[in-house]
Amino acid sequence: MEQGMCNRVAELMREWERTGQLSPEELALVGGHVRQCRRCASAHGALLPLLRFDAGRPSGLSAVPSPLSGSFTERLMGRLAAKTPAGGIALARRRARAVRLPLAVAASVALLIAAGFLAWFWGLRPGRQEVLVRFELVAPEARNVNLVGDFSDWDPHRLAMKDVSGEGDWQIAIRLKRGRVYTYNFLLNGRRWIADPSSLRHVDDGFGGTSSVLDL
Amino acid sequence: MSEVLRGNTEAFRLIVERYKNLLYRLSLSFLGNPEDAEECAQDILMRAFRYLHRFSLERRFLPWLYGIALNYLRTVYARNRSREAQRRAWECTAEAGQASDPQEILERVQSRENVRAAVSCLPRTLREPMILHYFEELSIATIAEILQIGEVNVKSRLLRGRRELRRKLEEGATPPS
Repeated sequence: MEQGMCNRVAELMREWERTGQLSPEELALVGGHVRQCRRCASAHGALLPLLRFDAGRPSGLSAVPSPLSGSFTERLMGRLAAKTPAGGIALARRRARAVRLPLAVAASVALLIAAGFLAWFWGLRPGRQEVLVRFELVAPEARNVNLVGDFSDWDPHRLAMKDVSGEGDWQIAIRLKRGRVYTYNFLLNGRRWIADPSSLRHVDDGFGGTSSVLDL
Repeated sequence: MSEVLRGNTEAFRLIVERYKNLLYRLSLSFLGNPEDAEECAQDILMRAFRYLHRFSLERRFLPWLYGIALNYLRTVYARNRSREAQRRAWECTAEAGQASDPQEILERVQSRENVRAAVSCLPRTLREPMILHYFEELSIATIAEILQIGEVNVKSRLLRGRRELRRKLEEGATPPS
């Protein structure tokens, strides 16, 4: 009888593990059994709060065992005041921008040489019709960057790049057909169009700027 | 938010008041130690202030803040001197299972700290969704947004997290008497 209940509880545990769901009745059955069975209490007891949560009951896991100290906010505001110049974050940003301007020139040169947007090709094997092409752009000041080109019908929203480091290393990898020539740009913050500095070929985009050319 | 971005540092106080307990709880779930967790919550809010100019008002603030918090907590966790303490806490959970009375076992293993210690021993890819789901009580969609993975992937990681946790607990269980 006891072994039968152990088996039933083990079965319910496996089902919960798979689905993350448990009915209140099943929870009651498991809870009742582990209170009497030493083996099951030790094997499943620590999971009971998780089971309760998935059965829609309070688990107790979200409760904070000890409160924050009363001085938390004042201490933090003190740290902020010590680190932030008068004028707050806006001034800090202007300063950062002032530093960035000369850096931007150096960075654009460095980008041409080092960081590179267009990167390595995966699966570039003879006979393969499509290749995966990774585009990269280092743009720490950008809030968002999109890859826009004839491969996406120049749709500015379709190919959003991802900041992989959180520091402005924007990347995206897409599949393109071999044997074709593509034209593309990067769109920064939905407003600023730039060519790929690492691209070897550029063409007039017809709007007074340039687009990059990718020959596969 | 706009006020802070315009240079009103004092406006950040509202953000601190609103999110400090959440960040403290999250840090506590990762680190286990209240003093470390409080320092972490401070550092996360300092970082949030520093990076606030990168925040787009079109985005939801909470997932953005969680993202900053997780990035920071990963670093702290990796170099956390209390990793040994995590292991000890887990051993305590296993030891509790040695008691002879089922009620006594349950009282000891069901505590938040014991469950947290068990979850904290999971690999990072499983630990984070497990904490966000079971301790922070966030929805699958929000977890996906924070971790920047698909919802199917979140569900899969939760399944693997539960499986791994159960396996570890069963391995530590006492044989039937």
